[in-house]
Amino acid sequence: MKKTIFLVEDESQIIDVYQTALKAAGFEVDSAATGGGAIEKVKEIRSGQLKKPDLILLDLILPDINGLEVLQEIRKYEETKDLLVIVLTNYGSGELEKNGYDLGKEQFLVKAQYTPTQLVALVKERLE
Amino acid sequence: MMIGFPLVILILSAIALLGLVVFLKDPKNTTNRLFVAMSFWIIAWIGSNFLENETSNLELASLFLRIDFASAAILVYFWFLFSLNFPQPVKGISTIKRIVILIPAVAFFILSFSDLVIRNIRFASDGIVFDGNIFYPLYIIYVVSYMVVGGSGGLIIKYRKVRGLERTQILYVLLGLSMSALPAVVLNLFFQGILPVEIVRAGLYGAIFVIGFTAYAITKHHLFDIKVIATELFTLAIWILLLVRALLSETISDTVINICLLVAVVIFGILLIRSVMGEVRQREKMEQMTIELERAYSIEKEAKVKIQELSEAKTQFIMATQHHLRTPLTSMRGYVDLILTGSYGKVPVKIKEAISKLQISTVRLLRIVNELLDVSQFQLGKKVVSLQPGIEMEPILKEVVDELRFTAESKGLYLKLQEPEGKIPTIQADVEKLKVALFNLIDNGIKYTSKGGITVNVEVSDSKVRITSKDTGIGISKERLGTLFDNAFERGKEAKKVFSAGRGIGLYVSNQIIKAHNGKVWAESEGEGKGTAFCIELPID
Repeated sequence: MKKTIFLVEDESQIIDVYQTALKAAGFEVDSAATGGGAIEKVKEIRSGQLKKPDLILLDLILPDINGLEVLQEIRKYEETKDLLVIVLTNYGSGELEKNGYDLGKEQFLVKAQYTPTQLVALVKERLE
Repeated sequence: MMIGFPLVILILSAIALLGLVVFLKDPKNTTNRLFVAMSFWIIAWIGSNFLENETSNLELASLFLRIDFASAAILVYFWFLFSLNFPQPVKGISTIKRIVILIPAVAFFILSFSDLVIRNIRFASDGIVFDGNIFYPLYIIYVVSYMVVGGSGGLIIKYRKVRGLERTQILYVLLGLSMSALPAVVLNLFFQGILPVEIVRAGLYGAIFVIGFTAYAITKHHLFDIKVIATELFTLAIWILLLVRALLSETISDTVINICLLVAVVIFGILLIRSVMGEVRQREKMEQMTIELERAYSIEKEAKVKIQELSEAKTQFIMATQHHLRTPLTSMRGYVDLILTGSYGKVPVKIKEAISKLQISTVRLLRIVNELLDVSQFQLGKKVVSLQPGIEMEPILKEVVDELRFTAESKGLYLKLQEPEGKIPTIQADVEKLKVALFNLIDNGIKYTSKGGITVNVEVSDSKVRITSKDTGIGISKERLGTLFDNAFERGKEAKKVFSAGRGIGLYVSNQIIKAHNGKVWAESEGEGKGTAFCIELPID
């Protein structure tokens, strides 16, 4: 059975690139372009309307609410708190700190440092 | 109480002396010349006023009275001019203005000798009296206008506008004026014949104060110095006392002794005043130096703050923009990767070659953005590395050398990696950052080498791993070796000639990364044209 990746990213080109690579690698990909849209999906996952994704790729900077709030929402509930999440950002650690983004033990990667091929490899590694 | 003849002589002598001192101080200065003229007419005024009440001859008394009025007319004219030109001479008064100011003075001077200002001069019980005639009110208006409105009023207006020494000088003159001249004018103009003559005269003799204060304000620059003032006043008091004593001597021998004593005390007094002035000048110099030092320190402090602010602003700008630079780079790298991996179908060879070059440029652009970010983070003191234990050096070295081999060979250079015979011990490292540091050093060698090549070797000592990248390039002068890794965006002259596009941050970044790894980096070179060895030393895990 195909594994599902939930991609939360507001840049349309990055959605396109990652979706193409992940689908080519055999994953099913669902996406949301806003924090609000992501939280709606989390509610649907909790209510059972949507299948739990195997891994969430979550962009930190979103147009409405930031990815950290979405992450807090995911981690708040029993049904979703153990979902695998990789936080995506183009901020360096210095700017994350300056803007108050405390990711704690969450894994994050700098998008620009990874080609889609490398991202897919990382996702596969994480899922194993 | 009648003021005696000796004391009048004393006062007039003092005024004359002060006038002479001021004139000799700067004979060409307009202000000083006007002061002398003023002093002269004050002497004439006081002298004639005294004499008009000392003679029993009515004709003589009338003459002295008219000279009194005439002198006052010229005196207030010079007072008015003096006020305009104090403390600094004023330029640009037109000839017409000068004539307009002069005319009333000349007119009243002449009229004072007629019956049109004063008439019916006669003796009364306590001195000479007169009746004012048709021009008397005009005379009063003229005197008050020049003395009070034009002269003193002008000084008051100037006092409000100026600052510093000039302000203090004007204040001294106004003080002297308020103590003497104004009462003198008022008493003489309005109370002659009403109040006893001794009281009316006292106002006149008080003119010594305005002359004294004004002379002081013109000639001295230590107006606030109490020590100097006290010394001078004390010395002056002793001189006056001895002069009076000399004048009141009853015998010739007493007079000679008193005069000799006066001369000796004057000489001693001058020496004393000079000594005190010298001391004050020294102190003022020291104070001035202290002020200048403080000012310099304050300027330096402000400059440091500004530099810090600018540096901070620059760094914040870089950090803010790097996020916006990385986002399109993510898309670019992404699409290039998808094309090259065949996600959009088979790619013709030529297009694949072109896309591969695009990929190299994209990676290079990303490296620049990352380096700029690293520099800004280093400069802000932010943590940039995350050390992990048990890292093996061999794969890192191999990857970096492999990545750069193509670049070296495109320039016709060799790039060799000589590994030690045994296994290299593991180290604590941030793999990605260490790759950047190694990449920068070896890449630096490639950039500044035009023939020959680069050899990378690894040595292991007791507790350290040393990686050396030795090139056959342009070399580095001894002066530059010491500061090579210190500052971002600085490059040597020879380096700019060989590789003009360099940014000057690679070595700085490498240094910061290796320092964060608890290691050190340095360069060795025999000099320009003799190649360079870049060395990294890292502690074994």
